[in-house]
Amino acid sequence: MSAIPSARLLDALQAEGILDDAACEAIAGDAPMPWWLAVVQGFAAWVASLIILSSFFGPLLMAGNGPVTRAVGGVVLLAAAFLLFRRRRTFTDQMALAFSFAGQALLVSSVADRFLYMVQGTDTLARTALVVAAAMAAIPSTTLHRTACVLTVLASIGYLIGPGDGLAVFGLALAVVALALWLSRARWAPHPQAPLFKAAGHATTLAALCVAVYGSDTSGTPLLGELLRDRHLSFVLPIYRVGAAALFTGTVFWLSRDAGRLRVPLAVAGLLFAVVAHPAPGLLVSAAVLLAAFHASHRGWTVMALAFAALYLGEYHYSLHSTLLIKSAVIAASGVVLLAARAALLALSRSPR
Amino acid sequence: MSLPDADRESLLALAESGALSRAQLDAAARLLPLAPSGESWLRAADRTLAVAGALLLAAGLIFFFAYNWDTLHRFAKLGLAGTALFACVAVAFVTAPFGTAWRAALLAASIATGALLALIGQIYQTGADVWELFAAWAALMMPFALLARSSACWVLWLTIANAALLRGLSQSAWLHFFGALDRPGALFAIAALNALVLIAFEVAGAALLAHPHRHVMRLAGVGVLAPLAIGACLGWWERDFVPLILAFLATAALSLRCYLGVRRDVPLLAATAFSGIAVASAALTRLLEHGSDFLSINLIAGFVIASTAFAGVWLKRLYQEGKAA
Repeated sequence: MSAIPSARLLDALQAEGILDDAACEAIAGDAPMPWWLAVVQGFAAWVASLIILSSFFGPLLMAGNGPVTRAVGGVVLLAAAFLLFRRRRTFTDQMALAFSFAGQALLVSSVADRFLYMVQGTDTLARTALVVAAAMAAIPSTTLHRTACVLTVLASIGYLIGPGDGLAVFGLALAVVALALWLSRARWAPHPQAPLFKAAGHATTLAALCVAVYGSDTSGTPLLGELLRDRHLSFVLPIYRVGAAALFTGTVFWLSRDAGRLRVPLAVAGLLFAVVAHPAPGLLVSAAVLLAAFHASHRGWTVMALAFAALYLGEYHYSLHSTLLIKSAVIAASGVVLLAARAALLALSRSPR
Repeated sequence: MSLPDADRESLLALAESGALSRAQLDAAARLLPLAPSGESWLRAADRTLAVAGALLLAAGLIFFFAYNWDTLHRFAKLGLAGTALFACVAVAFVTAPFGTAWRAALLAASIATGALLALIGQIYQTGADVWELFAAWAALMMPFALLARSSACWVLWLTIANAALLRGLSQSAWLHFFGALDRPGALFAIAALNALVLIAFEVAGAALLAHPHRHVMRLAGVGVLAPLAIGACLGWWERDFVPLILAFLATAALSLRCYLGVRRDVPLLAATAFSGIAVASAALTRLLEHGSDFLSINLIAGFVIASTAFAGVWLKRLYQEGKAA
């Protein structure tokens, strides 16, 4: 959801001659509706879409539930989504979103000749989902739709990579891409493909935070996956721990490169926090996202990074790789480092040069 | 002219939407740098490091007590919970009334009250039902809410009071809180509780809230409309629920009259409009029930599309009028 520009900002841009009257009026008139109204309208659009879908595809699939029927139905729905996205209205955008998801699901399901394949999963399904979602991400649409499509692409890649070291490296790569995108937001913001970059930023950030919180081999989510699919889905923790520590330290180093005399203390504090908190890598990834989101002035991810850190603490409490005594020491020591860093930072910033 | 940091996100979003070219964004960067300044970082670090450091330290302590929980005597457990409650009240005593710390301390005291009650129930196995825990919690935290006069405290109180009522009225072992939604009397009771709260806050909001926020009124308003709308939807099929249709229509009319003419509140108007659409859609479904063919289903979908689109345009216009005023 994009931020609503304030009258103060538009006035300033107009006064400096950056925007003319017509452009300011167009921006003010095209301001998005408040989020709560968009949510209610979106819900209504989903209800209407499901009713329409059931009226068309209920009888169709009952008549012939074969791969060809599903593929044709999927293509028709994706084409309808493409046309609806061109109208750019809240209601039609949500309808297009519902049509796109239903179309993608039908098209992907057409490559599985038995329902059981969808439960157990095959690489063919993942590859098809990857291609279809990548194609749908490329068409001009809403940020939400593009983000969902990129998430499907990432989930398919994650599935194809499989468990173990590869998943740990993939989780770290997601975090690297997310951080790189948010740290360079001011550079790509005016680019013609900025909406796609932004969707990629949202998707990689969400995926990286989910992997950080729930990807550990001691989390309940991979355990559920193992029960369902008889495959290990989790990653190897040591690799992820070291990578997360390096990622956080690198982010602090990059952000503090112009901090003058505070650069070395900041780097030391970042390194110390990374060393102390490395047994809890989810905290480090969340903290790195927090810093990058604040640099990008993205309030949503700044808050979400904190929320994921809190979620991670809950998950960490129940993880089985060390005792609660060790975990309490790690968490408390991390808190002490942050409080000490704050005290040092305030003292240094107030002291005369 | 310089702009506050809060406008940076909007500036970047304008560029991303194509409203600003690279040259225009570079020019705008002279008014507002595209990355936070050193002072902004220091301000944010001051708050974030303090809060995150304190929370991690507290979480470390909780982990430590969890590690030793089974070996702790019941008095030690109660002592810990009691100390947490006492510490919150003590912080409220030493901070300035109605400041952020005062309100946060009293909110924490409200939460600690519930934790203490749950712990007493766990240790002594009192045999009390869940609704009694919620009812006792709502009653015991009310002094904190009255003292704090904060929206957060009252929202928590209203949520707990509704939870107590929903659980108390529920006769289902499986549906828990939602088991109360299948009886007209229970739906009327939930609406009545929220209506009393809504009236109290509309009449005496200035005395109950330190800042004129409308979160409590809106939550209570949804608490009135939602059970009546659910009952009204069922009323098209079940004779027992028919009085709820009349009650919903009267409430919706009153809500439109009050929040459009007397005290403009667009979120409550939105709740009224969309619950009305839900009830009308249910009525249309009932009307076309015997012709459940392709045309009937799409007629209902068309009604949902048209009515929500109309409501969206109307509410957005009201919202923009409110912003302009």
